[in-house]
Amino acid sequence: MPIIDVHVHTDVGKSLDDFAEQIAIAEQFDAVLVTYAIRPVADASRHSFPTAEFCARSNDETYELMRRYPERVRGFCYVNPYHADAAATELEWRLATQGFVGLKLWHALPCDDPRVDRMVEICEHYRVPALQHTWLKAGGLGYGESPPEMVADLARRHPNATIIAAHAGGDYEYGAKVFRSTPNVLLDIAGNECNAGGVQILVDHAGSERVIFGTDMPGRSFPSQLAKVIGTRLSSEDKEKILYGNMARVLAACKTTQRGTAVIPSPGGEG
Amino acid sequence: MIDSNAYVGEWPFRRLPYSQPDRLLRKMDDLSIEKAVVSRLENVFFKDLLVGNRELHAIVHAHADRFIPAYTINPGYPGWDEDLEICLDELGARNLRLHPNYHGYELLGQENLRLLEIARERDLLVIIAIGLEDVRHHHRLVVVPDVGAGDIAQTVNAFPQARFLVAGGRFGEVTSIWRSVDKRENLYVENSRVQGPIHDVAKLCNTIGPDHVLFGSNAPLHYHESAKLSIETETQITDAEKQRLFRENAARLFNV
Repeated sequence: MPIIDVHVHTDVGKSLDDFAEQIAIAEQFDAVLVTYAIRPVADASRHSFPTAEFCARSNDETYELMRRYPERVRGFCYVNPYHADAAATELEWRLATQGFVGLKLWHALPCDDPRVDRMVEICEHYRVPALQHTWLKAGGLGYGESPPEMVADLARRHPNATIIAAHAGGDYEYGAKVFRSTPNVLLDIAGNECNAGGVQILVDHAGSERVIFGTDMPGRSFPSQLAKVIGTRLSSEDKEKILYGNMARVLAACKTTQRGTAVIPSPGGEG
Repeated sequence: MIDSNAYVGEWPFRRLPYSQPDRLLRKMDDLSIEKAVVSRLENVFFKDLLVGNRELHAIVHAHADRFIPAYTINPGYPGWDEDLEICLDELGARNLRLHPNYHGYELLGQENLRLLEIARERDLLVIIAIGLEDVRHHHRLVVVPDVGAGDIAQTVNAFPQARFLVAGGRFGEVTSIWRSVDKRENLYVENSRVQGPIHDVAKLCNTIGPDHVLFGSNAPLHYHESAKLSIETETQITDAEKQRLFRENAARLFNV
């Protein structure tokens, strides 16, 4: 069964060449990696509040990976919406000319900020998803982090956009309830520990059509995240939707010139 | 295949699909897991641990070919030493499990040092549970951070003759402990909560050595498939090394 991993980072190692390790894993599991750089590899650390230039350099590296591995990599564009015009220009350019297929939002600004709405409107125009980091924590949110409720409100303001709630809100039980009534939110299962019953809870409340597979590599391992799906007592059809079909449908609908040769069904296909 | 780190029982915060012995055994059958080292999950929160330990004894007695018991002791609670004697003499304990964080005592406190001295004298395996679930998702009224890696390293250093299995540690925790311990012959780790970074199993084997890493599931809190698939699909270790992780190291440690 092919797999689409919607949550892959590049920030490991000393060189972009080190991404070959993740490509080898993608080949082992027959996966397409939806990838985003939130820092250039030459920079020592991530920044919660990056400059527009820092984001652009990160996106250059994502684009380089898209070019190197067209059969395995799709790119999401990373911006800091605080840099309103510069961020909008960066996003539009990457979508319109370089074949990026989505937007990655981390926690520079909480997503109730109007500057985030502008980014989502651009995504709507190109029919690409906007992935918003959200992770409810018992110890409290980090700087600029958006709680799941805020992501749900963003989705309600943009009912025609596809919003991906990264990590399914962090706490799956909480996220399942918050996103139950927002049909345009997809729940990305990346990053959390492989709790027994976790994906089942998401499917029970949101439906198998809204749960999508992600790993959060390289911080998380591919098998530990895959186990969340294959360990769950779901039908093979539901597992196929989560691992591939749901995200394939989203990618097939994108109105950008996608680079890559991986088999993604065309709009209207069976998905 | 031997699962070195599992539990039987219920969890206060959510229903678990494989909490009861019959369902756990069916899951083990499905995955070709021959035996599992189990403790009573309720003993994470019980005060009188002898209740849970006697229940565990009955469960294991009914499935003696599949379950290896690890009895939970809380040296911070009155009468622990008498309970330990009962576990040793009546229940035949050979393996002990400690939850210093959930039970609220110091690993280097006087009572625990006394417990570890008994474990050393009687050659009991001591399983130190670092954590059970990601602390970020704990119930907000019951937030229990993982046991400190430094505390575990100091404890192991203080008892180089005692045998320790560090359970439920994340990659950074178990490698930190390993690097901080002077004499490592009797120190083992398992991989249930080592769910990254990429190639974590190979990195564990490189840092710790394939003779000191065991397959562990943390079931029923986690799916077995995470730890199992992580070893099975690791391309940077040999099949012989995988066999050591899946079975041989545990067979040696638990006298199977």
